[in-house]
Amino acid sequence: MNKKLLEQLKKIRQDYFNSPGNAILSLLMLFLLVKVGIWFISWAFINAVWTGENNEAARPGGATWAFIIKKIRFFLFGFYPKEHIWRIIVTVALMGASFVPYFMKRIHHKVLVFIAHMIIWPLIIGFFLAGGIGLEQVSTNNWGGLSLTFILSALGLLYSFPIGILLALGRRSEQPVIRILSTVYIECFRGIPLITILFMSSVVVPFFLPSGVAIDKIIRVVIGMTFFQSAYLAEVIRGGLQAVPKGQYEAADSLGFKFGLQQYLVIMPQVLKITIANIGGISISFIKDTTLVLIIGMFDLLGIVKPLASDSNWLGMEPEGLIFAGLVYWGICFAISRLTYKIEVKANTLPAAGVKA
Amino acid sequence: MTAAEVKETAAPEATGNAPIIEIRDLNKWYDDFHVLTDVNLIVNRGERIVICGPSGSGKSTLIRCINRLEKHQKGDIVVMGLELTEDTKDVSLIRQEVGMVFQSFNLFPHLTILQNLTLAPIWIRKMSQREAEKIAWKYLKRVNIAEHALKFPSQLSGGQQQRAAIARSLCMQPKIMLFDEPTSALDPEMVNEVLDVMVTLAEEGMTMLCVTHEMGFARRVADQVIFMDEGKIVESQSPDKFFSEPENERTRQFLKQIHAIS
Repeated sequence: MNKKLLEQLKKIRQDYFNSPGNAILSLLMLFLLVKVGIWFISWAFINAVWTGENNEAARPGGATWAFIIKKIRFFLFGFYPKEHIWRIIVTVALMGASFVPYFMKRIHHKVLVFIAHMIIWPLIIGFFLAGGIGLEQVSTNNWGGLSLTFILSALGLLYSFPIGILLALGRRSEQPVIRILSTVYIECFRGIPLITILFMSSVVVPFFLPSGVAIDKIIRVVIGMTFFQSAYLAEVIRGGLQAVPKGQYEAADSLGFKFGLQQYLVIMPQVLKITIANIGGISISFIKDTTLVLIIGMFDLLGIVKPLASDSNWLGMEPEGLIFAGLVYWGICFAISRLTYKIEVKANTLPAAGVKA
Repeated sequence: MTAAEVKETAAPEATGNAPIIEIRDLNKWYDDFHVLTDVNLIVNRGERIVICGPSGSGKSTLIRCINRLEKHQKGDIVVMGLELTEDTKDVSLIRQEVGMVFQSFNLFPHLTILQNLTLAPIWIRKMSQREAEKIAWKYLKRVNIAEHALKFPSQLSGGQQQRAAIARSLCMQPKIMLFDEPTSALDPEMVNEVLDVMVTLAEEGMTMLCVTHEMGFARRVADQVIFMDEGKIVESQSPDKFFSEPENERTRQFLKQIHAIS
């Protein structure tokens, strides 16, 4: 036996078997882990059913993945009419393609690209997904599944960033009115649970709208989520602002930069770099928060599990549906987490902001 | 505001013989603390002034008032014919013409040295990138750090960073340079490389106000040495007179202390 293995065994004995009580506890935990592991593997893989037309295919002690495979269209696109699904794919593809300018070296005014995004994305979504002009209208009640999750997350993050930055600057403003308004906004929306905001947007807001005026549920939800998220982002960005030394402002001042350009060219790049990890984390929680829309009757990736498992052919398929949805959420969040980490590493190979006086 | 407009605003001053900086009865308070008391100072074009004094004497505050990093409460400051008031437009115009070098360099850490130098010329002077880089390289060579142009500030030594900071100010082609203890944060062996750059600048006729305790520098380049204490200008002399026969008792004591150290 080699020496390394012996040392590891010795360490295991020291850490887990250093007293009779600990030894019993360790063995018990090991036993449970193995037991659960074996059960899960046999349920998810060995006894699993991958094909079938209804829940008669199900086998006791095994997952019926056939349910997911049969219903994958609904998990991805909700109750969007089958013949129009290409419109969702085009929308998502266009939204993805609109990131290309950020990677182009020649484009200097990336902030303008961002503003263009804020205008173009709703137009793409309105034209292709909602339809009405040239394309057949599809009610937003039929939107759902992963594509709804994607759209809600994307729009929520898109709008909450600039608003969050403005709020953070507002809270540090020397103008008392701006400072107080920003503070009140931030504290209000951070103090209200997202569910409450969503309920208000779906129940209370229509009540106060003049009759004949209707704002679509999706728009109300996106606005509500933006209010909520921008307040959180504002605080993260404010933390970053506090980390930029005063000398940076003075140097920019002394070169003749006024407030706007100073923030854009000197301060914000440093702030965003400091806050990358926090912004990544907050983005992940925003994406997970979109699941709350199921409370107000929207069928996002999580919300659609229940109606699908109520199909008389597939009764009792909630566990498979929920596990699948969970895996997809985990995959998305893990990808963002890795991406954030990569950006952070890349940014840190450049010198850290503000260090070295 | 385009570069041309800026020049136009500054043009009448450029030829006149009027002082480039006029400070009359300047008073400043931090809350109850009276930092500057009745300060009067006239600086002519091309004049080099060294300001010294014990810490807390208000010397940094004084030069920071000249580009309005600090606001004053009483008295007038007229820089290149423009009076410093609450009007922000004038302030940023003046800041474009007044370079400032800080004790802690304050280079922008997220930009390379070259980008640090071209940022303001491109965005404020509205130069093309090529034009701005051409000027930047000229000054990088002048301060002898051209080989570090593509590095980030944190990769440079203190002396190199301070020289880069001087070059960054010069790229805006200012009419006046303010130095706020430019060598105080440096390791001793790096002080001279920065002072050399400042001496060259002085020899080229730049109007300079330097807050510094480098008395060798003062002796070499200053037209006028000012000693400040407790927010007042105590003594203002030519360097010869200042060092050989200072009039004021406090100046004598200060010089004694400085000599005791160096």
